[in-house]
Amino acid sequence: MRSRYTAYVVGALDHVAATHAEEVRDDFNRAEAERLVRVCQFQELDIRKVVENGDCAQIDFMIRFRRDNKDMIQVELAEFRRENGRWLYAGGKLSAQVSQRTVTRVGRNDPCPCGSGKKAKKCCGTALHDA
Amino acid sequence: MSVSLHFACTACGQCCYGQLPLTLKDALAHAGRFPLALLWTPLRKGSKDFPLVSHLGVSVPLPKHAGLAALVVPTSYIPPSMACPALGPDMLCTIHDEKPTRCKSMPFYPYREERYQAELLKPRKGWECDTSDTAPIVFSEHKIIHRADFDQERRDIEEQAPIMRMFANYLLKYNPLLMGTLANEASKPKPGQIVSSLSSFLTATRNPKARDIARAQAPVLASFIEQTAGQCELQAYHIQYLAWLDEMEYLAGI
Repeated sequence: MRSRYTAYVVGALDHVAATHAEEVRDDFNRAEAERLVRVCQFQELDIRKVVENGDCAQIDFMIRFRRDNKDMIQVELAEFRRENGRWLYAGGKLSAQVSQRTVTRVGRNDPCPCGSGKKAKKCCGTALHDA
Repeated sequence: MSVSLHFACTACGQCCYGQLPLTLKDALAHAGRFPLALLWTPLRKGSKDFPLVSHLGVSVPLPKHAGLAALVVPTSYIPPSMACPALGPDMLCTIHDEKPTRCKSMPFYPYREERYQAELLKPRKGWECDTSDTAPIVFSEHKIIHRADFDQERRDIEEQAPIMRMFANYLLKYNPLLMGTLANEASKPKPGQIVSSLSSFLTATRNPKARDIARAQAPVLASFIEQTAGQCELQAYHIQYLAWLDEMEYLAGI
């Protein structure tokens, strides 16, 4: 867990890719991850609870990072499995309660995020951006 | 009582602006032409298109939100003010023979019940479609008359439904906030669309040609980055294209 977080911090995504269990390996969007590690400043990993049961473990963790000058938090309950002596990430449930990423919908009367100083409705569009 | 409706395209080019929904087949075949994204449209059970898209299997139900579904459509993601890259200076299509099915079946729209297609024949503001009595009859007795393109597009949509659902379920799993965002949009009088990336689509669907698609897509994004540079009102698009180019360059191995 800590090694995977550290790999994200230093952008060593080969290690992240190599520590995926088989069932999630192909779900890893490496291209997106490569971009995100460059635009995110990781600040903290807080391992809140670990339940280890033989070769299975559940880790409840939180990471804090900054992206686009915004402070963000990700909370996840991750499943790990030990295979041939190595712990592999086997999936996780991200908390939907905590803001994982911001959705950029600007109120029509708010200042436009492009910095023009105009109201959003008189400036940039209102399409939602995500992912 | 049913009426017969007339329609002829005058090639004014006015419908060749802004985003264009594509069949998956067309989107991937034209990856070297259009900046591609996947657009989510939330649909309420009471809405006109809900029964049909559910029946076609092209929408995904949203768990925990009874009566809500999302339609996910591959799209040429272009700002409303910008012309299709295939529109020539003479306002004619430069790829007429190989243009997307969507362009061929305009103004009909296969995500809508056939009997409701009449309303789509009314030209939108600024369009110069000929709907006079001298134009051919295209819609009669609640049916489309010349229907080959419409039927083709609907077949393509049905065929791609399982792969669109595969993508939708992937993103709903890995982006738990998406569900709430869709539900929130659905509750508005004019629901917004949510944009997601081609890279996540290629990952989710295990596309074996991801590298080739990314190689075709990267220069398109580079061109749209250039065209939207320094334009305040297109800033959101500009930033989006920059992020996608990064991902496509990685996938392409550039």
